[in-house]
Amino acid sequence: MAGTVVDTAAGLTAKRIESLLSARLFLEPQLADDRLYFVSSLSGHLSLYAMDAAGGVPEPLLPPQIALQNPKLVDGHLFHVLPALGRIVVMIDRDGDENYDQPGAARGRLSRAARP
Amino acid sequence: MPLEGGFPEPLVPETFQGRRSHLLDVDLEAAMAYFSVESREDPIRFGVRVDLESGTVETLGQSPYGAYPAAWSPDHSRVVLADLYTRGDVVLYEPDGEGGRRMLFGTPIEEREQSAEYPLSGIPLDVPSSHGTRSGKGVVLITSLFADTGAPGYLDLERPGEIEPVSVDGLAHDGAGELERLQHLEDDRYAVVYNMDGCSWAYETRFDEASRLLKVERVLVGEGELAGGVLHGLHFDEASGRYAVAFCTATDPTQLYLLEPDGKRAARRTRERVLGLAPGLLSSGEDVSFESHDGLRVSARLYLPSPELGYEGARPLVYYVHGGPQSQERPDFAWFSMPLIQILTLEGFAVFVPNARGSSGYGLDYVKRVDRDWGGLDRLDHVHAMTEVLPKDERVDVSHAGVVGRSYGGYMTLMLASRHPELWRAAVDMFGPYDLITFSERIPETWKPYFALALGDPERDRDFIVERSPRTAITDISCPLLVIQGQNDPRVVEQESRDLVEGLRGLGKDVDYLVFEDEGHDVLKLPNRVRCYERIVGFFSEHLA
Repeated sequence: MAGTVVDTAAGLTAKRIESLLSARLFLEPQLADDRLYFVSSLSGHLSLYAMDAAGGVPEPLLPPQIALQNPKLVDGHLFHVLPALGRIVVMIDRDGDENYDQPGAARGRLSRAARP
Repeated sequence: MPLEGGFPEPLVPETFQGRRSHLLDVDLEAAMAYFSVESREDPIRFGVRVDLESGTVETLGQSPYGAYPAAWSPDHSRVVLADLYTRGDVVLYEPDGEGGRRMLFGTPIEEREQSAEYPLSGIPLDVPSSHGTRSGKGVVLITSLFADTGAPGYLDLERPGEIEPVSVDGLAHDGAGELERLQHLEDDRYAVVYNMDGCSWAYETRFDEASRLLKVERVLVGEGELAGGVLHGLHFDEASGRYAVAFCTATDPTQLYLLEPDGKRAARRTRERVLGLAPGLLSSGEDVSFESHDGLRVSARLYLPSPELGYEGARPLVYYVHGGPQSQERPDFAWFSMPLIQILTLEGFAVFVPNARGSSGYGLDYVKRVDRDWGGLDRLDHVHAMTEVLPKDERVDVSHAGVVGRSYGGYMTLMLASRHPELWRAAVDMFGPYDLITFSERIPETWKPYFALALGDPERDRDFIVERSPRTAITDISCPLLVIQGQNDPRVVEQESRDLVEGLRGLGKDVDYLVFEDEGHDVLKLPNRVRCYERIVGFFSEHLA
């Protein structure tokens, strides 16, 4: 291989960067009712996914335009699964502005869902 | 939103609208959620509890310094709130139900005398680590009162002012590091998480409240496949007795694992990998900790190109400074720095990554050394490394060196490039404060009380803050500079970087400016990250060759 930095082709650099960034993030897993919920950058930004605990294809839980908070910049949790209520509390971000003014769950009262 | 996903709807919007909120913890059984909520207009924070079943909202307390819900009794009849003045300087109190408070530990700042010294509790608040015990009588927590690097403690709610030591029996690790987190699992069981020079160790323990003992029953993280890296989530599912874990190392991306109740081995649920690059081409780094200018040990790692890449001779150097300043660079593939470090080594650079004084992970005394000394002795740690340590390593060419950092690391990059210009051929500032006076004026209102204590008061300490601002010596910068900024950053706002760029361009200096319109205090979106890394690597390749 090349002995100096200048010998490295820009195209190879770009490929290496894209190779390194091809590894997606898998963070903050929560297990509930044999389902594994987690935060991932599978779609290019941080969002919420779930899959069967035994493994399988991750299923997106949020519309593609909605991103979660940056876990490096906030205290606490990005989401919390509430199986008894049949709901998930998620903390939403908007292009990094940190205006976390609308934690999402459900408007008003929640009721406990019947558990299998 | 429902478990199967969908459009999230606002949760009690009358409470959260127009404020900035953090979900601190949830009691699943009681469906009770605790939030820290910040005003946008005033320097005030609120501790808020939401009953997720009834929709009832309760403001537990408010304070310029937090009113963070720190712990609660199992029936939620008692709640412990915390105020944080500076790192480790945390007091605990209980709302009295009439708008007042009953102090549980520490002296409130407004009652302190100027000349007196007050012991630092060292209670961490960034991750929930204080928990009401099953009996409802006390709180088990982490404190620095018994060990500078943190140890478990016990606060009897009927004996305020006294925290007792809690011993831990059965730890498997050794070396230097910190007790990082105490996580409640169920009943009297807790996960205890250590950060040993950047690497995570986690244990399952059982708490004997009467004898003040946490007894280790299982090593969860730190051995086997889950060794030598960083934990990114540990969740215990009471129903199945299983753990869900996220973990990565310097060279292996984050993976998800399940730990069975009695399983010896972690069952991996993902096979994430770097595509098209053999693992042997990545650099795991080596420990190059050094004794600094005043004899203090500074932890550091050096990442060199893999021998398989065939580079010969001393490598040009990229010096990476982490943000915070009270954080730590760890063997962590998950975030911005490690992919950058790896691509730089692939391109033939050596990358030096110190955890200078003021970094977290090495005890309270170490992390406090940057309070009211921004750009002081920690800057000299970096200068010492560049002038006394790295020149002795023949694998590194310090005559071809560049410096890069994010946030506080960007600030330090500007300080090093302007006050020690002879050391650098290129510098990359990512959203670093340029003028600490304007920075102090531009940060969110709720941050101002903290920064007035930890950095300095922009009025009372004006001369000191001006002296420690990169702006004061910026005319001395001589190397090319790349400035990177997110347009939506509320912490170091775009105007701060624009002031720097326009000021330097007005002086005829060589400055590139890269703004991401849809990013904040980070570069997260994939196309932006690709562009960001390309610009940084290209910039160093152009100027350090």
